[in-house]
Formats: sequence, C-alpha cells, structure tokens
Amino acid sequence: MDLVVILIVVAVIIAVEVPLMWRKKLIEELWVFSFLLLLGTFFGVINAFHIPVSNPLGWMIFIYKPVADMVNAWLA
Amino acid sequence: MLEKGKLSTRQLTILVMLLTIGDSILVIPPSTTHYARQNAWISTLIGMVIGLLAIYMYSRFIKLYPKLTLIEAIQKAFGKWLGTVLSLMTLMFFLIVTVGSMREVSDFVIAEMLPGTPIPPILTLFILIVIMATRLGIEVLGRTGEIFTPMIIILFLILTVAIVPQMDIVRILPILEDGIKPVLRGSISITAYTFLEPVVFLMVLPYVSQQQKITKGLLLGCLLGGTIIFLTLTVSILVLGPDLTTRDIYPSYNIARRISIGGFFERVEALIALQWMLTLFIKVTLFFYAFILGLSQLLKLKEYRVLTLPTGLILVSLAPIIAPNFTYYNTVFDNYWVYYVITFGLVLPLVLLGVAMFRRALSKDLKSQN
Repeated sequence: MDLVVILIVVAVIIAVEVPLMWRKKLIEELWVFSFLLLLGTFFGVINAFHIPVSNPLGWMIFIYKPVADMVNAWLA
Repeated sequence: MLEKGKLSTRQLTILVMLLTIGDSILVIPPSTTHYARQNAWISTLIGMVIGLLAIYMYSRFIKLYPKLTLIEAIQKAFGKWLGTVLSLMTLMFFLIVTVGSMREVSDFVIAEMLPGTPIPPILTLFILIVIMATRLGIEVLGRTGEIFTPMIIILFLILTVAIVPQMDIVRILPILEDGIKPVLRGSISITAYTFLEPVVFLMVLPYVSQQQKITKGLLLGCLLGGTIIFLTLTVSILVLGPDLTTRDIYPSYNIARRISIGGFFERVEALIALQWMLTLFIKVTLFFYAFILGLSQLLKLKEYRVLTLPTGLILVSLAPIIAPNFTYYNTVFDNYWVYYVITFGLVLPLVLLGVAMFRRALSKDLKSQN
C-alpha cells in the first residue's frame, strides 16, 4: 500500500519536472535530478517496508562521542 | 545566474532574527535548563556573546571572500579535490539539519495537536510549502519574513505580558548555586542551536543588495533573536520553575496554556503554535535552499528549481528514519548534535578565514620580496 503511494509520488515528480529539462536540454540537471530521485525512492521504500537500516544519527554519535564524553566529564 | 533575487538589509536582519528564534524557542528551554537549572538565563547571555563573535567572524568572511557563497569559497580555498569533499560534507550538514528540524515540526504536531498521525503526511504538507518558497527564490523568502515579523513580535509580546501575573521571582534564585560549570554546559546548546546556525547565511550573503551594511544587519538580527530567546527562557523559568521546564517537552506551550486574563483570554496556545510554525518554516526553508543552491553551485548547474522536488522526497522519507522515538532524538540533540553544528558553524568558517589570511600573508610576502 505504501509502496503504491511512493510510486505514484515518484511518477508525479517525473511528470512535472522532466519535460522542462528535456526541452531545454539540461542533461547535467537531469543526471542530478535522477540521482536525488533514486535516493528519495530508496529511502521511501525503506520507510514503506520498515526495513531496519543504519541510522545517520548513529554515525554522528560515533564520531562525536569522545568530544561529548570529555565535555560532560568536565562540565557536568 | 542561479539566483537573480536581491535581499535588502532589513530583510536580511529579519531572516537572521527568525532563524535565530527558529527551533530554539521550542527545544532550548528544556535542554539548557537540564544543566543550568535556574541559571539558564546566564547561559543565554554567554551564548549571545559567542554569537556576536560568530557574527564578527562572518563579517570577516565577507571581506576575505567577497561575493562568494560558502560552497564557492570552500572550492576556492581548498582547490578541486579537498574542496569538493568538504563541500559535500557541508551540504550533508545542511541536509541533516533540515531533516532534524522537520522531525521537530512533526514531533510537535503529533504530540500536541494531531496525536496518532504518521509522520510522512504532516511533513508532505509542510515540505510542499517549503519547496514552493525555495523555487520562488531568496527575495520572496525575504519578503515573506517581512510580512511575518510584525505578527510574530506582537504575538510574542502578548504572550509574555499576559503571563506576568503568574511569574514568581523566587524561582530564579539562588543565582549560581552550583557554580559556573553547569551554566557553561547549558550554554553549549544555546550557542550551537541559536547563535551558530546563522552560518547558513554565508550561502545567501552575495545576494544582499547593500554589501557594506551586511555586518550591521547580521548583528541586529542576532541581537533581536537572542533577546527573544532570552525572554522566552527567563519567562519559562519564572513561571514554571527549573524542574518543570526540564521535564516538560514543550514548556512554552504549557505556559501559553496557563494564560487567563479576565476569564475570557484563555486557551491561546494555538497562537504560540502558529508562531513556532512560522519560525520553523523559515529555518527549514533557509537550510533547504542552502542545500539546493550549494549543490547546484558545486556541480555548476544552470537551474536549481528542478532539484527541489526529489530533495523534498528524500527529506520526507528520511525524517521518520533518523530517530526511532523522541527520547533518542532528544538525547542525540542534547549531547552530540551540538558538536556537529559547532563543527560547521564555528570550525569551518574559522578554517576558511585562516586559509584566506594565510594566503594573503603569503602573497604579501612574495610581493614585498619582488
């Protein structure tokens, strides 16, 4: 059900934006557009099927944990 | 020419003020009061000092990289390969801040107004307006800010004045009970979220019509926004006390609920929700715009509007993923996200300034030798 919604949204986005780029021959923009749209579809599908995936905030925690521990030990 | 619009100085001041208020008015009171307890108002003042330093840093940036946005400046300072890597990291910073702010919008709406609603529908409505604003350009956004500002200021004054009967000065004592260290810890989140997020304006400054007045505009906006945050935090502590401010997720909403004048001016919390929606909208749009514009400048595209819809899809899909529940988001927000914002809001501009000054000193050295 969710997958159908995502596909409809993607189809609408393509229908709205691609004719403009095709007419004006903006090939580079088309590539970036497709890449972003692919990313969006990827995340949308993950959302629709509730697939557990690596959390970007998890990376943030991993990178900044030393700093956070240091500041917390010093100031709190 | 990617962006043909021009901002006036007043529009810049207003946008800075609205961004400074941004999500801080919503999430800063519990976060700062957690550490600083009843002295959170001192944290705000410390944060404002650092904010003024940051504004000074941004104004030096304009002199050293004239008419360049942040992404263009990174590419000029670091060359092709390192510049591209750093630009991509900065763009990811803009994107993640956008997703975080959208998550805050949806959390607030779901918690207080529409319980049980899934996140994507709320954010779809929100992101469609953000996309429309981005496509129309920065000048339209500046004008929108100008239209919103009287409403926001009047709402804020009404809410602050109406709650005065319920304030109790005792709640703010004793001052500096545990020393200065908790106050400093509390000032970290205010500094990052309220006063370092205006780094996004480095993407927009080349489009201001009067370049000499930029510093004054930034300074005024920062001071105004900081004053509003200071007042919000102090009112929160005076009315609710430090304990309840820490535990309540949205203390300002709670305060607005308590307003009761003459028995008929009641239930005005919808007004404060409206105010938050407006400032959050400005913040999301500015960071979204910075991401789209930065990406187009990095890849030397001629048209940025077509990228808005797919990025919107990415944001709406990412928002439910980044945090499984509110507690997780809150913990990360308090402890780790601050350093992320400090990295890109303070460290990156400092590094850029350092590179430019180093180069200048080097070229002066060479010239004087010749």
